[in-house]
Amino acid sequence: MPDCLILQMRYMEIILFGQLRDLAGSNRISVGVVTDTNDLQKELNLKYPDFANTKYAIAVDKKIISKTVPLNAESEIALLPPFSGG
Amino acid sequence: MNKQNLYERYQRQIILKEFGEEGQQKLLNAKVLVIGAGGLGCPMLQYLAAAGVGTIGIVDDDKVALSNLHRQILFSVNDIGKSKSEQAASYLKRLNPEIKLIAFNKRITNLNALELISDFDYVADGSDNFATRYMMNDACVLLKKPLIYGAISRFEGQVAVFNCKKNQYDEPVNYRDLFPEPPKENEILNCAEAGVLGVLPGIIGTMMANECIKLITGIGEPLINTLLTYNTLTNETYQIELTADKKNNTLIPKDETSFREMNYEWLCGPVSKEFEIDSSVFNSLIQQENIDIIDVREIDEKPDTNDFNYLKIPLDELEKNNSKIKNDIIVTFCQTGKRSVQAAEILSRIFKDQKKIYSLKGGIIEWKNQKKDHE
Repeated sequence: MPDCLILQMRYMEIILFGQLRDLAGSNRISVGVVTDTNDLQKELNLKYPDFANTKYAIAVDKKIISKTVPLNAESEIALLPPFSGG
Repeated sequence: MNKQNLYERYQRQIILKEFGEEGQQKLLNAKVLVIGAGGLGCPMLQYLAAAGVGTIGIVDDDKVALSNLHRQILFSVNDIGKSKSEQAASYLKRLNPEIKLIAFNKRITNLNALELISDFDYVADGSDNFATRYMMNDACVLLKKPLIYGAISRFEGQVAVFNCKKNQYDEPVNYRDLFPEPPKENEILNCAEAGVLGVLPGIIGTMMANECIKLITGIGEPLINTLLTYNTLTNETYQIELTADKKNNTLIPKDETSFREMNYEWLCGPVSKEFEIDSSVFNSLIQQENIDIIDVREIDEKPDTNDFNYLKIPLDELEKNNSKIKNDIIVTFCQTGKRSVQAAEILSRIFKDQKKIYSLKGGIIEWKNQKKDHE
């Protein structure tokens, strides 16, 4: 079943933190593989419109990014909203 | 207390070979300012005081409430209604009479922050709002003070150490390298809306105390350039590397003067349009008798005006000179209308609903220009 294999490869997993978990209803979500973090955000905003109204930092392979970076199916992506509580 | 007693108090940590008498001496010499004696502040203060940090400052203008007690473990029901900073200091004094505790029963603002911080070596932020968090970050960047950061929401916490270098080639990282700009209203839930499990600030506050002790004594690997997140429900931890980004530094006030002029409340929340009035409303108000108009600029700032009577109370003296204000309507003004909004916010905290408070939008410069146009 080579087609299924290819299909499986085309998803990337994203780890969520804070209120993003509540908005998505899950700790982890998958989206189709995109080429960079800019496209990732567009994809997320389509799939999870509530994300567009939330502030969060993006980490790729456990590093916070400050500009658009390329992604592949193996990239470890995490989305972290700021917390103010004390 | 004699040397033997001191040794006995700290004996269990002194016998750690990485720590030793040298580590203990470093703690005794250290001065740490803790912002907020709340959920994070309480455990942090308890461990820092117990460990023997020589000087601890506690800033909090809040009073103990019943709903605090599930997480703010320094307080008991007898403390309800009393000052958090003072009650915390008095408890910690009983815990460790050998150290110096300073309670600042006031709100930390951009007008007093630099002065407060400059007497300390380390700042630990356990505040509960974005305005204070961004302000503390910017103040610590300006004064190059190490900042131990911790924040919580619901079941999750974050810890990091800012403004420190791992090695001499490192650029120090600050909070704005993680979250460059504050979220606007509705973008993030605040603690009162989101809720918090009481033990979470206990864990995160204790982690902050741990980072602080590691930084002071130079042991282990503090979370420099690293954000650690912890989840109480799953016990997951996640560490992320942070990198300094020069463009984020442009968001920080460039010097102490611009820091004092920055309106952090406004930056982090809805614009306080409620205070602002335009020239036409101002012109009708100045005809009234029961009104105090206050120039909140520095004493020597120009232009002056003879068109109406006013008091001169510079912004940073407003709080202590508020007894000069007698009337029920107050209008503040400054050069361009920014400081006067801050002044209105300060006055509304002092007078609550007792007085009507306004700020002249656009400041005296715009008012004078409009007046000229009408002439």
